[in-house]
Amino acid sequence: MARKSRTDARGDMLQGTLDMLILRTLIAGPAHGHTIAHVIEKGSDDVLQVEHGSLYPALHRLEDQGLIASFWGTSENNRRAKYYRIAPAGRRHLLAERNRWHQLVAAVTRLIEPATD
Amino acid sequence: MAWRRFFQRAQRDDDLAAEIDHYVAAETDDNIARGMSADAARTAAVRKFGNRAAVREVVYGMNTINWADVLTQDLKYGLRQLRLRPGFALAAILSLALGIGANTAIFTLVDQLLLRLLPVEDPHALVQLRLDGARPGGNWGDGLHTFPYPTYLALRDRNTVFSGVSGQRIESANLLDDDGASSITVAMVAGNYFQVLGVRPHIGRLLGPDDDRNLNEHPLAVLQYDFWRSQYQGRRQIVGETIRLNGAPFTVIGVAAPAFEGTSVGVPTKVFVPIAMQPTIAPTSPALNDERAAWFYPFARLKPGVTIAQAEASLKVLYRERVEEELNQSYFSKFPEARSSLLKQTFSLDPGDRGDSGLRGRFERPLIVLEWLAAVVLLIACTNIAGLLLARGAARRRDLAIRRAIGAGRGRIIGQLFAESALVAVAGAAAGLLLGTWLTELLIALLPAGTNDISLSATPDSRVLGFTIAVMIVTSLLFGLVPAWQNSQVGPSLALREEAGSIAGGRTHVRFRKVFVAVQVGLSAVLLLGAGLFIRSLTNLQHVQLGMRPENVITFLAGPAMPYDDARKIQAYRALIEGLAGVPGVVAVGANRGPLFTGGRSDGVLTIEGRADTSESPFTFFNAVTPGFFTALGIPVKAGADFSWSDWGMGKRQALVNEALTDAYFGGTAPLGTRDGQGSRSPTDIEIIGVCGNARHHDVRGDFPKQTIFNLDSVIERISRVSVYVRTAGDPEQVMPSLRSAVRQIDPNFVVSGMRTLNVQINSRMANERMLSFLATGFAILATMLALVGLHGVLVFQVANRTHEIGIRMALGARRAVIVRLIATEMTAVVLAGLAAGVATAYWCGRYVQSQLFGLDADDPLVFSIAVIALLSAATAATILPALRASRIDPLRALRG
Repeated sequence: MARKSRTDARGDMLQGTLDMLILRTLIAGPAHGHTIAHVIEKGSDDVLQVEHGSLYPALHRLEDQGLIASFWGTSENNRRAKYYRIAPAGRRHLLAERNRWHQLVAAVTRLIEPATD
Repeated sequence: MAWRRFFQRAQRDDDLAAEIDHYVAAETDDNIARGMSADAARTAAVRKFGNRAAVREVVYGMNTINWADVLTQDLKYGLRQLRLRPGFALAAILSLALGIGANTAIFTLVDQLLLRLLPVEDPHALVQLRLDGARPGGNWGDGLHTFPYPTYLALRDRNTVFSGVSGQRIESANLLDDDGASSITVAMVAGNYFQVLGVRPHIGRLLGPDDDRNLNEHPLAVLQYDFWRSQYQGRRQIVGETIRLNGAPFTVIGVAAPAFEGTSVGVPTKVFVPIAMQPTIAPTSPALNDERAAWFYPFARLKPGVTIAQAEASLKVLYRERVEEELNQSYFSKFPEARSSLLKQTFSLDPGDRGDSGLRGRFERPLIVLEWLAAVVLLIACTNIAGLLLARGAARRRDLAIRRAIGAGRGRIIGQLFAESALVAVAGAAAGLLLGTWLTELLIALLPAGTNDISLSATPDSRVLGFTIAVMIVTSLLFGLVPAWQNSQVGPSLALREEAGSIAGGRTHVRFRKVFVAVQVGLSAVLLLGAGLFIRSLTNLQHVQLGMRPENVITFLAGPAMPYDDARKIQAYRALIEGLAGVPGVVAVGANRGPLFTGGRSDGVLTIEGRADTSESPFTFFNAVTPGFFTALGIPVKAGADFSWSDWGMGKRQALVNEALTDAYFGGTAPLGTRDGQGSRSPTDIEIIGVCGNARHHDVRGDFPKQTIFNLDSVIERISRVSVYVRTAGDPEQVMPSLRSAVRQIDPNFVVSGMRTLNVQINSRMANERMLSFLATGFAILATMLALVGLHGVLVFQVANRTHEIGIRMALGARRAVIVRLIATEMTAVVLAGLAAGVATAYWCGRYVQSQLFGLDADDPLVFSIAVIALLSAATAATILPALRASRIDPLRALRG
């Protein structure tokens, strides 16, 4: 049986970050899991590697929270694929998360800057 | 929504699998586009995705509710295990069903008679008045909670601890309507009855204190709700209409609230009338102002803040004062015997929250005894199932060890094993509920049909259902947990060892099962002893000398539906009896005042002419009969003459006394011609014309009563119906229909009720003994069989376990007898230990059933020896068979195997 702790161990921040990145990706339009992972990795110049062990549970959770919605469609290669699109609640959530992220980065930066002198 | 996800979890898992498939496919395409070969592209894609199963597990874990999932899995597993061994499942469910069924049935009656509260306002504040000790004068009722009406009035008016004192008495009365006459239960209630109880009207109004002022001047009736619905189709216009009770018009003033059936539990009231109407409803009962006749059931409501003990202390004083007043009256100055018995009475209060019930008084003890017996049966069934489960678990040790080895926790193993027990419990409880309903019907049929209709329901209600579920939970814990705990004690390493199941695991579980067998044998011994005691008790009762020949006698009540005057009654009853004598197949006919063997009686003293010393006055039971009574019942007239029709209606006052009275007060010489008087101050105007044989009239127990029997026509003013006895030449059942039509022909106004054979009526006096012996025997047989199955099971297992050893012994030359002894002695100690414990328990419990026994002691040596011998021989049979089988083991095969 699954143990929750395996995902929780990554910490809230990282998880929240992945959620935010997924939402941001979907602003551009509906996409399936493979595309989402690809966009995040390429968009960050491969700095961020998406772990599939986190991606699919994250998609599942976001859908349950009503931030994204899913539908089955046909992919560019003519395969049946599950597409995700951002829901209105998702857009609001992304906005809030982005503000929080900026605050966080600014705060961390402020703390770190003097040390680099 | 967690539950929605829970039920979609399989679908979602499939979706996820498809999603992952798509990812791998898309990644493979990308890889191929980068120039990889198809195989390498796919391998790389799969590797990039990582652990598919882990991802699915994580998402599945998000969707499921862990315990619910575990539960369904365990239940499915349990179901599969049960289906694999239908024999075990059937045996377990059946034994549990029998145990639970017995408990449910007894509880259904216990609940209705002993536990259920009256549907009135704050029933816990109600108390019943109770008087223990001899009661000089007549007694009509349970002999504990009945009081003379004047005593009730005195206590009602003088007490300071009750917010209200009221009371009632039920009688059957004739209801005359368009369909003819029928006999219904009528409650004669004090005016404040409904106010004290706090019962509200459904429609119209209820009786009040002003409706109970003047004797026979308030012909008002309140209908019971269900009776109103069935008899009057729930018509609201009934209020204000007139109904005819015993021929007299009563105005309906209202209908009582639903569910209220009066305060006599088990005998629902149909119509409530003021007690002032007693002369119309119960013309033959003692007058309201009779100070010596106890027949009224008072009850009271405690004032707020007053405890039952405080009220009792206060009432005791009041009652004592009342007794002192009575003792000053001339009645007691003449009879020191009655005087001292009055002083020995003890007054107390009983809780009144469950109403009064003659049924409860009679069946409380037997029902409690039966409830215990049923619980013992259930306990045996539980140990049996536990034994079976232990054996099953032992056989599955390897399987369980493997489960542990691949990571199942001990809790999970216990859960899986317990789920199986839970399934057995649920199935057993369901079957037990059905069985219980059927058994309850049987039980109700065993209760005596009195003159009033008993209304007990066999249909399980929510309370019975709740009880069964509670029993189910307790039993499943009882028989499920020990085996599950015991069987889960397997180390993972056991899986790797050879023959893990048979030898290493066998020993502890056998020790448990031996304890179970000892317990079962002990409990069976208790039940067998109980059954033996009750059977002997019943046999003793059935062989009591009644002093009459009750076989081939039909009895019924007959009386005019409307009041007749005395002259017409004289003529009508003679016509009835002489007319019935002419019916084909009838040998003799007679009648008396009230039905024999229903407990009703009247007693008092005789004043004998010429005896100045009143302390020697005969204390006697009275009866009044028509000519033909002694012939019809086969009671011999030993001296003098029987009553004759030629004296009927001539205004003569005559009496026969029985031999017991003759012996006690006349030195054994027939006092023919002696004149005496009924009661202490009566003129001695009664002539003793004969002596009749001793016969029991009101009960089958006790010594022969000293009797004085008057001619019925001398008390005709107090007769509203008679109890008729018809002796037939052949099968009485065949004459019954012609008797009914004969009565209709003789006098169309006559109502016949309660027709049955006299033997049935006598048997109803033995209802407790019959119920106890019947059920106790059934329970005992059931219990013994279960115990034997348990014993046999352990032995078979032992033999199977020791096949190898036995083979070696035989190969070395052990004779068959040695092998038999080897197997048998092992269990002998177990059986003997159980038996000894059981006999000791039964001996110790004996005092609790002594009051239910007739003509023997609870430690009756005959019963004890028979029960012990029976159980020992049955146990021997159950032991010897597997032992013999063991001795027939082929040593060669045993050693090879």
